[in-house]
Amino acid sequence: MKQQQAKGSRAFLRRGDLFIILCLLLVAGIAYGVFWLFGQKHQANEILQAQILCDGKLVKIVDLTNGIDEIFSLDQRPDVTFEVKQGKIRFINAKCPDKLCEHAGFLGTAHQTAACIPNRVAVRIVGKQSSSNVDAVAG
Amino acid sequence: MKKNKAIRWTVTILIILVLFGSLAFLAVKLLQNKQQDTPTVKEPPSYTLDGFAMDTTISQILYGDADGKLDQAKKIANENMQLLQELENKLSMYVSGSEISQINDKAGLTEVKRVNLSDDTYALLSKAKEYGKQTKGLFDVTIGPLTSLWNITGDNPRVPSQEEIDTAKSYVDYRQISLDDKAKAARLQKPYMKLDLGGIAKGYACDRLKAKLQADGVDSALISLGGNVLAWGKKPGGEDFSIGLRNPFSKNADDLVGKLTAPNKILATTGAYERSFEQDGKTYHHVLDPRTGYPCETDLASVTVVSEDGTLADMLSTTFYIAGKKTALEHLNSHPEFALILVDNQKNVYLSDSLKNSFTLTEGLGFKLAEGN
Repeated sequence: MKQQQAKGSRAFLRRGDLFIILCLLLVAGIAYGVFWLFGQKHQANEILQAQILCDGKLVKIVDLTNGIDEIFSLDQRPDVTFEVKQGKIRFINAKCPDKLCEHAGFLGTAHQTAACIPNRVAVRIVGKQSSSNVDAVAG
Repeated sequence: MKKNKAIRWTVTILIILVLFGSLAFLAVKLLQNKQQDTPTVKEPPSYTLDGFAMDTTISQILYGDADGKLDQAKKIANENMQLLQELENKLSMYVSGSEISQINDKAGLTEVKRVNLSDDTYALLSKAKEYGKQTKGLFDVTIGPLTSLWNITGDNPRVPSQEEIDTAKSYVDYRQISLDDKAKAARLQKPYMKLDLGGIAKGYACDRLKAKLQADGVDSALISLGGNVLAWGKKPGGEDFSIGLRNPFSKNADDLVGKLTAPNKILATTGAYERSFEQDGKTYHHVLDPRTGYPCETDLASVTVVSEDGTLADMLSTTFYIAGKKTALEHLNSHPEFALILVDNQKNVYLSDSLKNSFTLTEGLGFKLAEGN
């Protein structure tokens, strides 16, 4: 009887069973891992960028999704300064009379634009997502 | 023993279920990704071109052929930019030697012949004079002396003295534009008069771009000229372009009063937020009232005109903004050739009937559709 019970216990947690369990968990882990990698790749396509144009020409691209917070001026226009903070960008300390570029505030969703007309500098947010879900803004 | 065996089977079945569940989850996700990617591959690619012209930012999105060729879209977008620069060189009062500058330079000089004009300039100037007549001078392209005096869009804007304003105002009179239909020539009859087509030039440019897109066989494009928007055709998926209407009370360009679809239409908006300067704690905006010589005082925060005629839309947005809510409301539903979106200073939004099904108001910003809307 004792022998049978011992045999029964061994049958419940046999090495073979543990091996199978580990194999199955490994396969499941790999499946999740593969999906996670695909997810990362898909997310990479949705990166938001700020494209800065000077005289209509693209002079700088700032990665807003994975970039760092910074303040910088353009080589082409030292009077125009940008601040990048928490995935958004804005004009600061613009040496222009109307300061309309600064009034535009932080830009951080696709299709947003702001411009410093006197300095002929524009910034445009490019990406797949737009919080306002519009293709253009009138006004 | 039977019990242990049952537990073992249960655990094994659970593990198999976890495994199959994981694989099924993976398969579904992979399929979803594939489905998301499929239209991207089939969808005609777009070509975006940004630049500066006509003293504003230009943004163009043109869609390519169904087979994915973008060459034609690139070519047309670059030609469009060239067209806008040509128009600026003809129509701007700030470009030395432009046709408008030539007319201004020769204002009141009787011994000088009228300035011969290109088709663009003559057509626009003729329309402008007609608009002056229709609006009884509320929209007047001879407002140039006041524009120069205030210099709101220039480097050193300032509040002029009353005497300066009165003097400049005396030169504002669209009836003093002399046009010669046969010779396609024009002159200003009084010295110191000055044409400023800034109130309609971008709208006219939208008309020219629209005609060009049509002639070039472009099916789908979205072009913005500093807030004047031309929505041409539909998006490649068959969906209408969605156009946001900027919140005139917010400095953040992303805040919207609402959004609308307006296929094959041009939108022109006028509001005080566009350009302004501050002096002694007071803000002075760029929409000058030819009657007073000062930035207009109005009970409207913004006026948007939706029309197939961009020049008309541009002119009307300025005119109704200056005229105020009462006049604008009288025209809300009485003209099939244009529709209006009016936002007053209390955040009431008035829509023409023809826009009611295509406009969606933004919730939570305090805007409300006015009664009857």
